[in-house]
Amino acid sequence: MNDVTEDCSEYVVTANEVLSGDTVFRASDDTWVRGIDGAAVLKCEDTGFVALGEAQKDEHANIVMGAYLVEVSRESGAVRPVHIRERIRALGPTVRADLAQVAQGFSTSEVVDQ
Amino acid sequence: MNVHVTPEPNMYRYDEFDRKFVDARVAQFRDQVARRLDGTITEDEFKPMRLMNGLYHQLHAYMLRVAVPYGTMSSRQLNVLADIADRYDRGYGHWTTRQNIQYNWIRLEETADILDALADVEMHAIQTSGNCIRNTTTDAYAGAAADELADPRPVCELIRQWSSLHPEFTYLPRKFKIAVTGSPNDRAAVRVHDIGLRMHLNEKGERGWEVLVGGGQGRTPMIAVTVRDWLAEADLLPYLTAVMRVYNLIGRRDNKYKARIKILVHEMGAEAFSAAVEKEFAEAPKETIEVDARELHRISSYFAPPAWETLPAFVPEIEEKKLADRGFRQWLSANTAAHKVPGYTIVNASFKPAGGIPGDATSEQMRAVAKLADEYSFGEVRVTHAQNLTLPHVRTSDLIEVWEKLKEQDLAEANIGLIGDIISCPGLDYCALATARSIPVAQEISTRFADIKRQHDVGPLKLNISGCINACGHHHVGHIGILGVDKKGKEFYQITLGGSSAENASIGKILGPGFGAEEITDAVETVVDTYLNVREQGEEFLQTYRRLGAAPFKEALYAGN
Repeated sequence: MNDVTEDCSEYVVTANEVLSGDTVFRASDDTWVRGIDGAAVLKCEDTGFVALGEAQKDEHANIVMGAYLVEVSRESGAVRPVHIRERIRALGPTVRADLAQVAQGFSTSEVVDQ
Repeated sequence: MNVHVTPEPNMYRYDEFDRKFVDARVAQFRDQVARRLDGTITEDEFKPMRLMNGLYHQLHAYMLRVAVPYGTMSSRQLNVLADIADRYDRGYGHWTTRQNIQYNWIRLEETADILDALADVEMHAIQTSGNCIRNTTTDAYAGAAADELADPRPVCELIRQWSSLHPEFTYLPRKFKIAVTGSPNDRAAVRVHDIGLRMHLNEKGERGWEVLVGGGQGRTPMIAVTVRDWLAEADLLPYLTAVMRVYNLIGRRDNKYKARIKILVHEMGAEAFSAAVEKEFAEAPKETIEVDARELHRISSYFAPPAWETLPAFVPEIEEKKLADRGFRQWLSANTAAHKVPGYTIVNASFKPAGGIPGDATSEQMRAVAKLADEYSFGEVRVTHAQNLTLPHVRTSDLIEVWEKLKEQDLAEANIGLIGDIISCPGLDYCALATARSIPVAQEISTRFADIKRQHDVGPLKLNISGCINACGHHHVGHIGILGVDKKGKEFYQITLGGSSAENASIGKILGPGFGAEEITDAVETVVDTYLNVREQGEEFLQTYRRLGAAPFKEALYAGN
């Protein structure tokens, strides 16, 4: 039998800050941070949904909007979304280095490399 | 000391009603934002209100789309757009295919302040979103083009006044776009709009309008059909009202993908649709909305031609410069157009540098164009639907100076209407709806074709890129169209050929299987090289495609596979 816990994917909780509209991620101390590097990584979807439920309380408090889970993987130790849309959303536009999250001081990653 | 006085161009000015209405909307929105932030209203409740004021939420942040009515603005307005870019965004904006500007990094709490700043110069963001009649677009050369019958902007303004917050058309089945041209050479893409209006003159020299309905792009591209060959100008608003009523009453609301008027026209058939419109037009009372000649005259007076001088058409120093300087000659050939008045020329500022982001404008560039407008074009600027800016009234004798100053701002790439003048949507780099990136593809293609001589050798070629099926990059009507799609998490790009948004409009046809991001530029180059191999003397790309069809291009691209 497969070991489900070993095979299951990793997730982070993301949303957008109401005030700025910026992409934010849920940190392990239940705050919201702008860089994905500060996101709490959640093992398996079930764990992710529990965290998402907690995060959605901040939607009711008008801190964030549209919270959801994003599947991530580890790349050279960094947490990165699996899908390109989420990678760009997390790391910023790929077409101007000065607009990327790394240039804004929110990520240690370079721009999306697809 | 020289005191610089900004000339005020002839364009529509707010009356007391306009001013009160826009100011009231800003105040309402300020209150709505406050209630959103204090939790009185939820995002679901707030969303339709912010969209009615042009505020979207995109992939990274709030995006504000500001209307530039029919693409006409003053240097004063352009300077305010630059100030907004600096003060409230990240120092730049993006010209859109509907002659508007978008800001990509807006904070919710500052949006009402931006709207206030816009209202101060008679601008707003109303009806740039939602299922309403959007900003009416027209020929960027309106009022200046040598080939136009008359300036279409008074009618655009009439439509703006009629449609703004029209209670009957505020909740249409879907968004609704109207485009108007006063020239037989269509630079406003009227046949791919929900309603297209094309001006004609009868044998008495009276103006009338051909009414085209049911064009559009998106996931179901269609060319509009003519429902009226000739409509007297006085009947314009009653007839448009009839079209809108038929659509509003029987347009589909059960499926947003089938809710545009093009689907209704297609499902009813053009004849039945026309009959329904004519019946409504015949039965509805017209007295209250007939275009009163005095009112149209009043609006037209705002668009009176500027104080053109009597100038010689032939300017020896320009001719000499053409002979001596290939760069100037190329720029003159591609980036200028014939003016209706001798001694004047229409000048385009290209926001398509090789390797650049199509349509992105820094605040510095905006201010530079505003200054050029003040100095050389009666303070007037236009936004083109190809995401460039136009100085409509430049003295031909000033062209060398204007060219030099545009070069200083990287706005003189001699590529208007050529392959480097790529229309591109923001794509997945910014857009929440996109499925693939479009800007990097545009950058790579414009870099590949950076050699201006090569572009001129290829000749007129419109290449348009969309990052999803919604087709904001107008790929359906590109001579070469590129559609980005997501294929199992990877970006793929389909090529279409043979599209056109001009008077001979057509929808491009998919050539074959798509290409990966790393292959698409090579594929485009193969298409262009094939055209160069098979074209006849003087034949443009679209003509060659229409003569030969897709076969030689397919053969070149897919024969080895």
